[in-house]
Amino acid sequence: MPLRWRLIGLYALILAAVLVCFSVALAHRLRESLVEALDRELEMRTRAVAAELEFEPSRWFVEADSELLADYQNADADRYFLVADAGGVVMLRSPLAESTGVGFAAACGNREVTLRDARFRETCLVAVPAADAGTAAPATVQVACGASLARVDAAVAAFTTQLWTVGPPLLVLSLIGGWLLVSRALRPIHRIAATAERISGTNLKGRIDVRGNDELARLGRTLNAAFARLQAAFERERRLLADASHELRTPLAVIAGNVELATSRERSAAELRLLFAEVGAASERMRAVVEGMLALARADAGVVPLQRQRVSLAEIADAALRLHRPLASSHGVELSSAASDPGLVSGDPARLADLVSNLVTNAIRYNRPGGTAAIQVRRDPAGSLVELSVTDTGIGIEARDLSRIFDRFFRADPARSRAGEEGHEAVGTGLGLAIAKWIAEAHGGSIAVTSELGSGSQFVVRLPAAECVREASPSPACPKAGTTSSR
Amino acid sequence: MRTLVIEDDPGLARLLQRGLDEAGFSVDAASDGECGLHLAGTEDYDAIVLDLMLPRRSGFEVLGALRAQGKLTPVLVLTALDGIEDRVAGLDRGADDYLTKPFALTELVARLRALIRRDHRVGSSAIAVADLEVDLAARRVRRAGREIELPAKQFALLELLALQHGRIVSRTQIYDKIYDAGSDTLSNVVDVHVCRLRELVDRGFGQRLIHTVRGQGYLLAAKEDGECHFAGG
Repeated sequence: MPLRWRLIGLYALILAAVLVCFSVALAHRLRESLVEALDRELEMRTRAVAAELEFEPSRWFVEADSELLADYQNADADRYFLVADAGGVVMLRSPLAESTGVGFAAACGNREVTLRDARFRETCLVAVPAADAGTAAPATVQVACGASLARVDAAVAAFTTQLWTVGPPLLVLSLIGGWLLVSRALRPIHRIAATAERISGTNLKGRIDVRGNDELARLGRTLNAAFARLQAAFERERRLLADASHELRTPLAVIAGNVELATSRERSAAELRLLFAEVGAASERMRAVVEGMLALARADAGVVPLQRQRVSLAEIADAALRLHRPLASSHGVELSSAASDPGLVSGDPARLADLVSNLVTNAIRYNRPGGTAAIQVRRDPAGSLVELSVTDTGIGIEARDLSRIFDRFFRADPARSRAGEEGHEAVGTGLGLAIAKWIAEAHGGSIAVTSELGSGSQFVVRLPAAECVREASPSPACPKAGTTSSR
Repeated sequence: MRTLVIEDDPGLARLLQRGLDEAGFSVDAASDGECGLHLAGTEDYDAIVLDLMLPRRSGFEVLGALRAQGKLTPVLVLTALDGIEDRVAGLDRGADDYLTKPFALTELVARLRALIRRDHRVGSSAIAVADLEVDLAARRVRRAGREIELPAKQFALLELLALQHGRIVSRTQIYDKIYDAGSDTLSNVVDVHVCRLRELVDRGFGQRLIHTVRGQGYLLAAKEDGECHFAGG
């Protein structure tokens, strides 16, 4: 059932219940006050009867011509009185009391009695009538006056009928008002739903029109933020796919094109060698891209186990230095390393070597002839982390690119074109830093970059020191690992 | 025909240069968008091969800026993106043709020729002027049914005249189209080349087809007029 109907139904139920309870309470209260008024009237009547009483030897009576009697002696009189002595023996009663045979209650007070199927209200008082001196009149008598409740009941019934005639139209009117209110309240929800329906995988641009500052506006803003995040994620995926296509299809085009050239006509051996060298370079590039993508895909799936052991980052840095010296000298870049600590960490030596290699080749590739690339390994001042930094005097990274530098396939533009201009092909895959970041994080560490355009960049990897990894809680005296501590 | 290749991947740039060169185009290359836009804006190319993913300025930016300058040079966009939206976006932004990597060089060359032909309002790659037939695709020339072997420069010159046959082609135009930006030749080589072309195409045939329009340039047309004039010696 639509929310609108459920709300209206619930609203109608509550409203009807409130109306009924209110009417019942009102009728009850009305009856009570009418009965109270009747009680007061009966009290006065009782006193009036007591005042008119006269005593003859052995009995009380009321003068036959008393105005008082007229009220009680009509054939259709709906009230009566009774007079009894202190012991409750009835000595005098009005015709109605006579005919219905109503008697005294055990104790004097207010009560309701049913006489001949009609309900009566009765008030009883103990009175001291004025008796002539010398007569043997009893000192006190009990006087009771009763009156029919028919008029009270009729008044209450009339009132109830009135309520019944006013109530339903009131209910309907309220329901119409409720309907309008619910419609108004639901309108923004319809708007939100319509917008959300428009938003799909192909069009994520739609946004909810948020008005005001109420709960629905908040919902709208929350949804808009979610849509924005969704759009950004889609955009990232799309860009990643586009980048991956570019990185794979470009070398593929080179391979296909060179093969086409090679087979298009007779070629000399030298020409063929040249063409196949191109094919070789392009397939090498493809291999690097595919391997990088696979590594990251496996990392994303979380299926790469780390072969952890105690390794020295300083040694890994030295190995990377030796490995990349030829590349560095071909680029005219001087490599150096300095370690103030062996940098013992618990990690996968092969992965850590990849990480350092990626940073070092970047530092060489995006450098300039005569530049330097320095690796440094040290403990951070607190002693619980090992820091490895690679600092270059290269072309630097623009501030706006820093946040994306670890994104897959992202290459800071000037760096890329610059590397091309200087005659060194940028054979990087655009994945090196993404892989480096993954390796650092898989080891429980982090990687950060600072850079100044035109004067160089520094990448800093921080990994938990080996001793601290072993201990359940890092003790304040995380030992300054062993041998060459010379800070 | 003079083409500009704007491609950042050195391997692909070399391939395009080699392939287009072998197909008889003269090729300039730019390795980023900025440089490519500069060349495309200042030089007069018959066609541009443009990669979309470029450093500094994306291919789309180059295309937009070029069209904003009023340059209508035919542009063939080269890209890794093969989605329909990508192709539509490329064409809508002013590209004349679209080729997805990897591609066949022969197709690229054929598409470039088609673009250039369309640009010159020539219907097919076989152009006939009187009894002279120039097949731009097969790179063959026949006069009165006889095959004529032309050296590359002469063929390029004849191709230029044939594409605009019946219209005057200025000496500067010839110079710009035949020599790529790197060449360093004197302008009177144009006249030398025209004369050599005449030797090969016109000599020994009754009707002269290559005409000199004094002070304006040259013209390939089936009409009778003057002779070979040397402008600078």
